[in-house]
Amino acid sequence: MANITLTINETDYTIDVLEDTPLLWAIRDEAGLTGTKFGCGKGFCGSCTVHLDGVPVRSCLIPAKSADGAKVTTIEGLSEEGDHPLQKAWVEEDVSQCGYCQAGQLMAAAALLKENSNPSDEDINQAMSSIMCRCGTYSRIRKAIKRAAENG
Amino acid sequence: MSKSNSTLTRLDFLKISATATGGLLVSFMLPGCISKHKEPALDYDFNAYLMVDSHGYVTIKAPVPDMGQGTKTALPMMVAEELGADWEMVKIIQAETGSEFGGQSAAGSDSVRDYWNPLRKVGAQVRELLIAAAATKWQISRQGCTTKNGKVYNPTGSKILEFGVLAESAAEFEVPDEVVFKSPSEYSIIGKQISRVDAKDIITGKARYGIDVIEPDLYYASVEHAPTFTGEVVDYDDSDALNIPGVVEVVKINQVAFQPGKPEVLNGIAVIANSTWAAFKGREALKVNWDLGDGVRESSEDLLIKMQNRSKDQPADILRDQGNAIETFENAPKKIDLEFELPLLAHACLEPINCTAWVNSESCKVWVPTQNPQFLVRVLEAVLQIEADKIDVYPTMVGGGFGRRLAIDYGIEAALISRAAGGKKIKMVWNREDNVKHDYYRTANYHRVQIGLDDAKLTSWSHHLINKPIGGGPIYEVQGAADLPYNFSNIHVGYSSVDSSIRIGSWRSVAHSFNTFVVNSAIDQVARELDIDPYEFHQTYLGNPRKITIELPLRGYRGQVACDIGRLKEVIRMVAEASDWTKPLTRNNMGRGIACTHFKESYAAHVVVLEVLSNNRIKIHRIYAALDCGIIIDPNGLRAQIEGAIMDGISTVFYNNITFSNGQIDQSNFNDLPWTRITNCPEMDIQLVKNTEVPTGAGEPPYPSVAPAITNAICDATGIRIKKLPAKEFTLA
Repeated sequence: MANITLTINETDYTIDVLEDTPLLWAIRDEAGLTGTKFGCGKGFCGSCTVHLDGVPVRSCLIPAKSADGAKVTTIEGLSEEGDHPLQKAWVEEDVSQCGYCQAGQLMAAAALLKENSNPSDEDINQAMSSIMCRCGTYSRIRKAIKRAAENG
Repeated sequence: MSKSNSTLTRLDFLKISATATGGLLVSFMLPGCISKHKEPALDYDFNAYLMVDSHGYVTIKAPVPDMGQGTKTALPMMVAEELGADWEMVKIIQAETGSEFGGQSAAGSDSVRDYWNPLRKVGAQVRELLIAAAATKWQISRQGCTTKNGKVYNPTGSKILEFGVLAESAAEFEVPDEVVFKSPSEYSIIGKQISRVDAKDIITGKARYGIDVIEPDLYYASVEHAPTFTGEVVDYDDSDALNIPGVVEVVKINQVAFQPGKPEVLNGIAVIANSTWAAFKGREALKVNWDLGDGVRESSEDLLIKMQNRSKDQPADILRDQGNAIETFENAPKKIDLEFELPLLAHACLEPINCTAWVNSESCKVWVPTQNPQFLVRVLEAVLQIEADKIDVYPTMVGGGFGRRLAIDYGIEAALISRAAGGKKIKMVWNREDNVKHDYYRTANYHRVQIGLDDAKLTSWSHHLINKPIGGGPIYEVQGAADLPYNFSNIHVGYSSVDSSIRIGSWRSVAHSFNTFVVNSAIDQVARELDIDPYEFHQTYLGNPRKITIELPLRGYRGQVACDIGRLKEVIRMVAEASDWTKPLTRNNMGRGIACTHFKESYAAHVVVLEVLSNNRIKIHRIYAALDCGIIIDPNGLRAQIEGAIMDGISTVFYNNITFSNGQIDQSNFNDLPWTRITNCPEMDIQLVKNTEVPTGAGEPPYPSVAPAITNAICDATGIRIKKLPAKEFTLA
């Protein structure tokens, strides 16, 4: 067992977990933040994407232990009032169908826009191709990212 | 005060009452799973409600599970329109099952079609109650009073009263039997761009899917299932599992099957722990000896050979026999003989299968993402031997269904684990490998299509389709094949079944998912061989616009397939026009393909324009889609279904493929079951037909013709006819 402290969305959580518990499950089961999703557990689908010190990572592949001392941002911490330009754009473009992948999509998109405030279609494809959407909302994801980039 | 009248049917019965806080509560019954579905409706009085509170907020309890297809938005829109509500003041709640309110199933693209009349009627009836209350207050006749934006207006508009003020007194009036519906030209909610309900919760991470259920005293379970669908536990060693910190208990779960050879809950060993990860780790540490059963003798190749062999004999069931197709084919100067092989398909819902259950000796509570809450209650009653009124099923948000969550196996499984664990509250979570390996796949199928040509005409069409069926025979397998709308003089469509240990079930559009591909591919091939433009071929052989009914020897509504040829021709025409069909393509490595479908009186067509790059890589430039599904309730949601169906069709052509060896599924995760990504998303040109026909559903109709339009375009570019999916010779660029 490992006793670790995770700083998630600027709140500290001190927890006891199995040594190899992925960050994903520490976030979901121990911190009770269920916005970050479990889709495949092996890094293929991207539903578990969070920011670790600002960098988008697959939380299902990161041991929670190694996030001790780092800043974790989940979808719940993307903005105070759900008003990040991407979140607003996501509602305006009506991106979601089942919605299950969208937290991961948003976290990946937020990281993209922080790096590149005016991404081209190619930039968007590259940054977002790691997040799978089973319902096929990709055309709206593209539009929403562009909209958020325009509106800042 | 309730109105009861023995001449009203149960479906007409509305119970109205004033609430304690000055509001109006209307309880009503929506048609249950009656003739169209396998199980009859449960005997609840009411399964939906509408409440107007004293502040004017309208709460509608939506009984149909929303798995992303938008019913939680579209269905309340129908009520709100006739009611004249202010949509901003309308709240929608998912109905849970329980002693008073039942759930419905989300299947068959039926929700909008089935509830179009009943929901509008309730909205209109409550509108009349509110008008009656206002008219009484104003001491005028009700004639000419209207509702709009949550208010009642007198005929001149000089007097206004808000719903909130009227709600309580509205309960005293009699519900009218007859109502007048608004005409589509008066709509201010239906047909308008409405943001889907739940949008804000989804993008802030607040949305709770089944897997996100948080309950006090919750345990977590991970189940090691039999590797084959026929497998049984011989023995197991759980000592290592129990040594993992956090693991609390290990229990054995026995198979549940409603029919022999069709397992729902598989034999398995469940590890119960105080966290999901500990449950996963505990399960990894289990040692289980399995008797794999008869299933171990079967691999994908065996199933294919079985189907191929069966195709050599006469079909077991003849679904269509018009003219004399077999003889005409024998004597045809030119013959086209095509064999199609289509694989098992995975559902790949992104939210893994999961369920939270709490069972004790007298009661059962289940929190579950499902398309079929009412059916689950029924089965829980039978399996657990607990009365239905002590069973509460709380449907959660659903992270994708596509037909997988019509099955209720996982609801039963979690309940059995809870019971075996002495009544612990259990959240059972399947990992991705469980989802891939223990699906209810879209059945694998094999087709032989034999077409006779004479001169420039098609003279005979024979189609023998073979698969393991969902039901006992052809009933769910022949749609899209037996109901050919074309004017072929000689048509023969037959069906034969084979057996297989691999579990199958409903998958988006069911039989259309394979038959539409086969029919449109075969037609395209015929057009090529006759040197006729495929678009012209569809239009010519569909004949004149008219309404037809194709009678099939199948029970219920499946025996009478209605098709409006004019509406089908129109969607085909629309995509041809939008894609400049007759204009030559700009490069000679480009191809263009067309396909269409009629699906329970919705009509769809697609044109695909693509380019074949070096090494057989396919770049899809643009997909044109047209859909006619009658009156459009939620145009935004409708477009989303069409967009999603396009991505699903692309996945079908290039990726979705389940194979098995020795009864065990080969694939495991999204590395060997790849799925389309944003890079594969083409430009889309979507047209929605606007008419005033009865709404007929849109979850499935825009899917079936995507795949054949793609492969027809590939054939146009390369001359290669793809008859086996996924198309292994080609990859997506």
